[in-house]
Amino acid sequence: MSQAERIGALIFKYNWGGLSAKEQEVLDAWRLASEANEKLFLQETNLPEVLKEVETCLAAREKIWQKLVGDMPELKEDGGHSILNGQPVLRFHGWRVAATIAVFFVFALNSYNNWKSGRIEPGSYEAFAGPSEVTGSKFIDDIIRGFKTGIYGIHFVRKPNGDRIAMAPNIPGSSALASKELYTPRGGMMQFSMPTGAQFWLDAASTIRYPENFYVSEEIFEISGKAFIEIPRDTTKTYRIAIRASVIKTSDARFGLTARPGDPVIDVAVLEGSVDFQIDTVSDTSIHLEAGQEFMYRKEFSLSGPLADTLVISGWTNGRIYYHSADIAWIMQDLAAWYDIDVSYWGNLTKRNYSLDLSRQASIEEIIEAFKAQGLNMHLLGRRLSVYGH
Amino acid sequence: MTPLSPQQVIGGINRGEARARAWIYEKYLSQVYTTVRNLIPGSPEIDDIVQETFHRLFRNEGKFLRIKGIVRFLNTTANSLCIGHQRHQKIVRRYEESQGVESTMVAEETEEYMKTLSHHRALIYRAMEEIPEKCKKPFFLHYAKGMNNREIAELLGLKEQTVANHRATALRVLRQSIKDKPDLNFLTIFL
Repeated sequence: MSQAERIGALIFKYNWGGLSAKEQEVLDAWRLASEANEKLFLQETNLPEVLKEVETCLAAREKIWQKLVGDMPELKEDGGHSILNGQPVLRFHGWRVAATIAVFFVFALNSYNNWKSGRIEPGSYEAFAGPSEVTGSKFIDDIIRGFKTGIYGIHFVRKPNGDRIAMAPNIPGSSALASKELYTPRGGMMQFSMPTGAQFWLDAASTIRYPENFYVSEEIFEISGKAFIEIPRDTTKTYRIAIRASVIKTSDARFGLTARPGDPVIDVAVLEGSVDFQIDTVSDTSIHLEAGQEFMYRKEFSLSGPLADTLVISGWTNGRIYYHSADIAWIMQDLAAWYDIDVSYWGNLTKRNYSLDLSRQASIEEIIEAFKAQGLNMHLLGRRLSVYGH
Repeated sequence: MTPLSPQQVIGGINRGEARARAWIYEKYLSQVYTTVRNLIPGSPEIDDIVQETFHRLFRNEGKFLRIKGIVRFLNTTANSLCIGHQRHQKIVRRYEESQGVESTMVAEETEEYMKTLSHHRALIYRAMEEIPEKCKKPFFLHYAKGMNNREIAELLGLKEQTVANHRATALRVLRQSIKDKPDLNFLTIFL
């Protein structure tokens, strides 16, 4: 089998389901190898276009053959009928019936196993030590089971409602610049507490870098992805949270932060207290945000205004999927991370906004139904969700 | 498609037998069609070039030793016919001075691209052939037009559950078709 055949087969499996993790890695590596590969991948996973072309070819099949027969009458046989339509004659034997039944049961069992293993579940508490520290060390599971102290000296406490909080230790002897990194995978989340009382909720596919020594006048964090942060009032110190080239400074605030990798937007929404959003360290331009204000920044333009709905910002930390009149792409980037799915868009998606109010443990099918009830068609195939515009 | 062994196909093509020609046409139409359609997108002459490609193969009796040679002949012929078509179009547009170089480059630079594209499409075409006729329409309406079960059921005058069943059957056939292909586990070789 040539490389072209292998890649063709992998794209086929990507489109119709059944791609293993290893095969996904091979396909991803091939996509990254050249722009032409990526272009081909995007072309061949555009199912509406591919199927239209397939339909055209199937329609042309008989027509072209008839033209060939017109030029070469010897292509006809069996009394002038085109042999394209000829079907082999099946002979029926008893053993074939038994074999068919056996194959059916094997197939049914296989389908059931595939269905079971391929089921998409909502995310759960899961986090890893940062790749720059201990590559891929998953620590949450071990610690949760026995409340043991894990990597970096982190231990867990369980809240009365059953939620778990990772508690970071203070390492007083560390340099003020020493830091550790944690990240949540797609389908993971965590609540992280500092000895100073600062709380960080990290949504799926997010990263936090935190200082080892907390008892300094300025604590420096780095965050990417989606987070909700509570900084207790403390006028003696400032928390600096770096997001790409921008920095948030605060000494007392509850606020939500979204800065997904690959999305140029940084969104900051303040529920209590206040923050200063410094656009970049070069220009030193700063925007002051009070409680009830939201600021959406991207290089070309930025928007600020009153916060529409506090539940949109903090609902996910309390087990809700809550959006009110939001852009579909904005909603889907969160859901894609939480359910660990790929999302693709077909057709023209209008500027219409959508709302959701479901449990974070809702099945992906319930999510799809909620969108369908608002007139938005979606279809799930394997781990890929297609959203159809009009 | 009537099953034939490679020897029967090669021998049949070399002797000009109708059933071997039909077998080759069925098996490689999608690849040739995809190649031509990609090289001259939107042209009204796609069908004619595909027809001419097979016509030239069928006229070349007694020249093939392996099926690979037949496939190579089909690809080369389709490419050169498309390049000729592009040249002709450029002449029509009065760009004669640049057409030769550019046309050749198109075909050479995209060889691996075209191979992968052709193989992927061939898998889909073959899988489509295996989908029962009654399931094809609901399947196409859903994936090509984005229609849901209710809309398809209304359009085709079927029950919603029947549409859902047809779609599930089509999808199962598609997935099964790739399972019948050689094991892909050796992919790790080139990781």
